[in-house]
Amino acid sequence: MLNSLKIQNFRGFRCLEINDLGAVNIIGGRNNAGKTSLLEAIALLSSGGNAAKALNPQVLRLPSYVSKDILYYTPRPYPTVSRNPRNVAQALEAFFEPLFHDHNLQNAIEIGSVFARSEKSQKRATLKLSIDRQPVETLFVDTDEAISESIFYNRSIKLEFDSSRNYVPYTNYLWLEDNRIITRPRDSAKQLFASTLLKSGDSGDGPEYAQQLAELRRRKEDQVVLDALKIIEPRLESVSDISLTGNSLIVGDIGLDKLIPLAAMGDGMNQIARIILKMVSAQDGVALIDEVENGFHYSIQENVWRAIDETARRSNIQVFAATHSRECVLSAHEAIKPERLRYHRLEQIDSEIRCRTYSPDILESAFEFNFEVR
Amino acid sequence: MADESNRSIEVTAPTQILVEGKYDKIFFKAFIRHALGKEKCSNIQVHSYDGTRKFKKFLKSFQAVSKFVGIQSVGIVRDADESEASAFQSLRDSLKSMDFNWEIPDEMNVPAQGTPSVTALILPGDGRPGALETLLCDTLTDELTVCVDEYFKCAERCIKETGSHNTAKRAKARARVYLAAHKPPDTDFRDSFYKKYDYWNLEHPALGIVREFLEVVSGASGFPLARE
Repeated sequence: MLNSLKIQNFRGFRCLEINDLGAVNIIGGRNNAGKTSLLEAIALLSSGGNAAKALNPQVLRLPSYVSKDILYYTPRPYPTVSRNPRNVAQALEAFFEPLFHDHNLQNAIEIGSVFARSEKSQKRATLKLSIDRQPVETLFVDTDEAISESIFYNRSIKLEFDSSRNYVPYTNYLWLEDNRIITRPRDSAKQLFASTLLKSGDSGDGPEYAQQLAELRRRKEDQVVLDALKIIEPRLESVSDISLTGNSLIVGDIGLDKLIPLAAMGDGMNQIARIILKMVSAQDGVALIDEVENGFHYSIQENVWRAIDETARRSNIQVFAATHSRECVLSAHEAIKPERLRYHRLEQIDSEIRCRTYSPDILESAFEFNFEVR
Repeated sequence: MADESNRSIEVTAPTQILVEGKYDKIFFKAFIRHALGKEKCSNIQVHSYDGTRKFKKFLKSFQAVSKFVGIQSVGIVRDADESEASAFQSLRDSLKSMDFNWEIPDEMNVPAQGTPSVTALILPGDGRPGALETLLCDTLTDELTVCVDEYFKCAERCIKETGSHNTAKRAKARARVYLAAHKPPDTDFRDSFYKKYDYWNLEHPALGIVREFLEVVSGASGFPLARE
């Protein structure tokens, strides 16, 4: 479990510190306060320096002007070809610039945490991402594709990871070739911990969710999904994964003469299935949920939080959930034991994003005195 | 004023006024708006701590939600009730018991220097028992004062009394009797202040202590209470 976080020069954060993390953490704040960025930062840290996991388009929001094709991690022994060196350097910077605070590549991104696998052993981990100003030797290919002997000095992204769990700090370099990110032959860095990020707008009828349910059924642990879905649809008798025209999908039995696809059961059902299935895929890790209240009527939010908390306890998962909803925070406060819950409000004050952490008693009195908690 | 509605409150202003109840809040907001004009009020916020029993709980929450805001000055207002000295001491004791390092004011209406500076006001002031409403009733004309007092004398002849009146509660009752006599009648302070019925004379010298307090608190934050 992460006990504290320090995020430097990442997105809107120049230096953000959060020192009192709970088992279930709710992140509040206005638009652009950095809620989603905080989730991204934790996902980045969880990568343990593994480039494919760190710079994953499923996790990081990337600018639309950058081709997603760039994120195929092709291992090469050394940098080899570059059609247009100047453009490649620019593309590299354009690609990574939005990740850096104020789009300034001069200052390295640094995400650090103190975490504990058990109450006795505290460890620390730091992930660092920088544009390496040291040139990387690159063989140049001219326009007619004849290999030139000339050498061009390219720029690279340096991804460093250091943890008191590791024997040695781990460093990887990434660079661009033909609009692809290139890494060293073996990007062998192990993830620091499992993480899963549920972004707002994620579709819940994708085959990965059906596969996740199948895995749970194999382990006879699918009851957690059924129980959660019953919060919204009490008629639900069972859920299962089936293959239809080559696609896996989740279906439910609500007592009709046929099974109903989960996708046809409404946004709330899909959202709760997405949350629970994403969570159980992050056993012993962290679940990162953006706009957690999406699709839920306020009257069921307390039960949704119970389901999230129960799943988190069963699978030993730490939860970070962002929300804009006061009712959602209040429901969590009602549903989750005080010792497990923390509320973190991100505030932009004098162009600096800071975090206020509310213990449950402060949260309760903030509600009582009608202070803003969204 | 930074928070005009019943929406959730964000603490944002450099000057914060903490008052005892919702009617005090309505009055102070109206008074500040009257003194400054609506457009100039964004540097001051007024909050109710919902009675002296919740004061410490409010302070703890207030301190947490206002972290990093850069509050320069806090003014705390409470009713004297039966004793101004006891009320002031109780306020000091509450501040001392909090685990944040605000300076404790030694005198009423004199800011304790620090960040934020802290100023206390016990109403109605001048060592008298009572409440904000005592001051408000001081603004009534002699004729109206006699009318209100006559009402109580008359009514009390018909009502079996079971106990003595608390000074502050009597002042609140007198203010409401006065408000109830208007067309339209006002049952709380909302109508008289929000709808700007001219029921109270906010320029009356009796309210000078409130104006002086607001000047001290605002001055300590670097945003003096003054119309341009």
